[in-house]
Amino acid sequence: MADRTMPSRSPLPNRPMNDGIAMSDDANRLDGVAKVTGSAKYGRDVMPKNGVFVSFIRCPWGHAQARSIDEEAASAVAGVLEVEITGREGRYHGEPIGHIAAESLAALRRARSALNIEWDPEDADTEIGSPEASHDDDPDGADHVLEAVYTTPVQTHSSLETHGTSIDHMGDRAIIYASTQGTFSAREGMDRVLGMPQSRFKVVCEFVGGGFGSKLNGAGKEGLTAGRIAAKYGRPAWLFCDRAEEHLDTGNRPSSRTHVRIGYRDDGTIVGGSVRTWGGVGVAGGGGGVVMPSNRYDLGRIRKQHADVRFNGGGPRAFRAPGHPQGAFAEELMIDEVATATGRDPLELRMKLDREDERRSMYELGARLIGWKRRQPTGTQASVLRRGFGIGSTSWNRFPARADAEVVIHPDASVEVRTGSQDIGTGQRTAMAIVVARQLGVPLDVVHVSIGDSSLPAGPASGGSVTATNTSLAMLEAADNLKETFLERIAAQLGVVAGALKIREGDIMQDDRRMMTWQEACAALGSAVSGRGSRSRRSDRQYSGSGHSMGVQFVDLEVDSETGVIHLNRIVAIQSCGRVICRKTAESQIIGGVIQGLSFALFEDKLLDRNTGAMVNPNLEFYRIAGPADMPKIEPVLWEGNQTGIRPLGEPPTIPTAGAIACAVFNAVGSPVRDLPLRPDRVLDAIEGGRS
Amino acid sequence: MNADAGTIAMPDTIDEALDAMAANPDLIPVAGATDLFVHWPEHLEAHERSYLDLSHLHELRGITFTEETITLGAGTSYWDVIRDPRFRDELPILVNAARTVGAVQIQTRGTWAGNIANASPAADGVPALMACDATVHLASAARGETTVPLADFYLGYKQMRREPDELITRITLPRRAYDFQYFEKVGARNAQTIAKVGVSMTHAAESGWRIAAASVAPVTLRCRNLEAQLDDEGRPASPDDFESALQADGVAPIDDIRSTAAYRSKVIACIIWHALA
Repeated sequence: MADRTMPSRSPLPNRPMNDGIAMSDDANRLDGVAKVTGSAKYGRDVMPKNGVFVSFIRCPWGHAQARSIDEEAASAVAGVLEVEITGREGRYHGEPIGHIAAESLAALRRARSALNIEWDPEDADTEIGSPEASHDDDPDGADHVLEAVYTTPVQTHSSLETHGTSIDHMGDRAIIYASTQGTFSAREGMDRVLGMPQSRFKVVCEFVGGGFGSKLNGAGKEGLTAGRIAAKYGRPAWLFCDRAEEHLDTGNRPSSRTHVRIGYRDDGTIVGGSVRTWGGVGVAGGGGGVVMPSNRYDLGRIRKQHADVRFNGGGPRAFRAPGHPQGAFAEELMIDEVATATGRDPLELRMKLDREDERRSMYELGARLIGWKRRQPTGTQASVLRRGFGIGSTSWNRFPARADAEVVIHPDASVEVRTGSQDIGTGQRTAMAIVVARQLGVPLDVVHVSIGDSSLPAGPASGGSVTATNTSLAMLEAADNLKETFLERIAAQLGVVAGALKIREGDIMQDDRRMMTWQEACAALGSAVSGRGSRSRRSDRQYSGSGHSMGVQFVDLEVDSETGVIHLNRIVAIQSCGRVICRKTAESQIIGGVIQGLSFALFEDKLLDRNTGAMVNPNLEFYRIAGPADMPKIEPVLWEGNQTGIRPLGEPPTIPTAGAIACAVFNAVGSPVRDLPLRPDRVLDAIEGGRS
Repeated sequence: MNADAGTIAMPDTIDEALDAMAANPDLIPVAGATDLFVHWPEHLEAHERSYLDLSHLHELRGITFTEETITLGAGTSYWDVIRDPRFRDELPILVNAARTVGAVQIQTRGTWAGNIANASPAADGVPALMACDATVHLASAARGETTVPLADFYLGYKQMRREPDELITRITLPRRAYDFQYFEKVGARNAQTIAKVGVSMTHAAESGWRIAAASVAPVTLRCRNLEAQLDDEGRPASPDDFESALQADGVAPIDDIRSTAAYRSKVIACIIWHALA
């Protein structure tokens, strides 16, 4: 039988460059086995006995009025408890106009069909359109002007676990099993609909199947509707979206249109100009911002204007680095267009324009790792397969947030790490265990993490890459406080001065002499001992908590000039995040960000039918997401510089990928494709000399 | 509503299956059910229909090679062909086509005959079989067995020469010494994708060129005019020189969710031309 042991370190060529900065190089995700074997229970998996199933009644058109609804027939379906219509107008495909509650999912389906709703469709706007940019004067000091329009489509979050809530209502108390990015914020409004004080219910989300920003909206309409039904019938209630509803009505990355008119000199210097952006926000009031310019590059004086455009579509929600990937796509491709027009190498031009010295060092490393020397000048290849290289950059600020933590040592020698904040798939559970094990000086396998429960110490909602950065500081302080109390008690037992003792690999040491084993010391405690900590200005100072992250990505690809199909070869992603807690989950975060970025670049596109306003691809067959066969070799490099503090990592790696890919395609084929996704037909159009 | 609505008949023999189909022409034969289940959550009306489950019919299984013919029982899955070394040696075109169908789970369930009966113009298996001059063998309780060349099997979009009481029992291919086999599928992704454009081509001294195209017409097309052009004139100077033959063959793609007509017209000619280089 073949050796099935995974190598503890993957044999990446960059490894020697970032050895030694991680708290743990070898730790596996603590819940990995539970997840892949299915024993991890997500909110969606919780179907309490005697539960009521609830689903929304939704508009199937882009814009329509319900002329007639047979509520009576639907109510008469066996197993149906109630049918409630709350409105007759649907302003987008998937907008709820009421709900049904029933004893089973089958009864819900039959009742939806029995409603036999007759709709009067109205005209629907389905896209951002082509708003005219007002004409600006050419910037001063420019030898040339680049005027270009870059667009990106609506991208849906496509969380594996759909949005929803399962409520175990037990009369005078309840447990809310929510699929949420905010254990604590998911309580908002729940007290009102349940008619219960917050002291009588708690939110539990031990495992969350992705959210990417779309599960930050408190209890959400799914949770509040389930809560109302649970309270009304005094029974458990379950409401989760299906895959179509997930595409239609749980938020998205809004579409964007970026019109640039910038001046540049013969040497590639950009001397400013205007950037007009529009964000397609569906029926929402806002949220379509486009981060362009990013402020990473010196582009001279840029006049920026933005407007949100409404149409008949579901509204946006925060999506992993909101506004950034759209803006970075336009900015990176614009820079490469200027580089090509002035005969400069895009790497050389970025070295000149980038505002950060540290990122310049990253460009040098990235260029070496990707083999930038092999890059041909843009537009010089005539072969069937054309090679392209591209670059993108990223940055992310650190946002302070409230976080509390508690660490408990039990007499049986186990250590419990307690934080209520959730693990949305990032590896938070594993990271917290490593932080505490390191700080206490005990082996990782004695540490157990309690997480995702609103009765535990409070932590932030997972938005803005704040969870690990803030909770780990609280955890470090809690571990230090606990260690102090613990050693005081052990010292008293041993009759020595507390300051003389240390914990090393679990052993209680005085100087180099082992005084007690971990088991002996814990047993001697008699009762559990705990320590608490918080993220505060004090813990920030104590543990070097502040700092931002940055990175660069390099892409190597081939374009098939017959078919316009893009084959990604390699993506090198260099990323700083300060002190790495868990190397494997950190690298996994980077790889995941790159995958989401390349999927945005090549495939994802929420398509609304011009005639009906309905989404034509509300599934995972025609709403395409990159599959394993589409993924290149992705090489994460954890940057050694700036090692202090624990810095944000969740969002920055997804920002530069689409822009870097677009630049590489431009390099390969000689004309820019300015519209995402980079579909084969658009690439062929570019090859034929036209712009996409 | 039919009294049998929503039921599944499970025959033990081909004869039983044919009797069931004669008694109820609305029965839908199903082997791997891989096309049926794709749309199952959305096509609620499909839940009310009646099905004939062929998946356990051993008589439909089996691949035989004789001196002149290769026979695929109608229950032959893509995976059966992928793992059979005789195909790797003799008809890699079929192995290559099978490997592009869905994922391994689909390849082990889906059948070549099901691909023919599903009649999608974007099929992967059908053009490969067509380029190998496949013959479809049909049986009914009333009329016994008939055969139809696969290239003549389709009449229009999702329309075919199969009567409601007829079952595909096997597919036969002539054994030839091919000196050229080519399968290409252009999809959005590298796997788990449906063709924007597909082409299958073979050449043997005895038969000349065979070319079948997918996703460029309402049916999988055998391109006889193009075959004749290649037989007579060989590879032309440019893919544009295929235009009139392809038009005469009925290449008339549409804009749809997967691609555009313009893209398909251009790429079909390009990939054939480059395949001949």
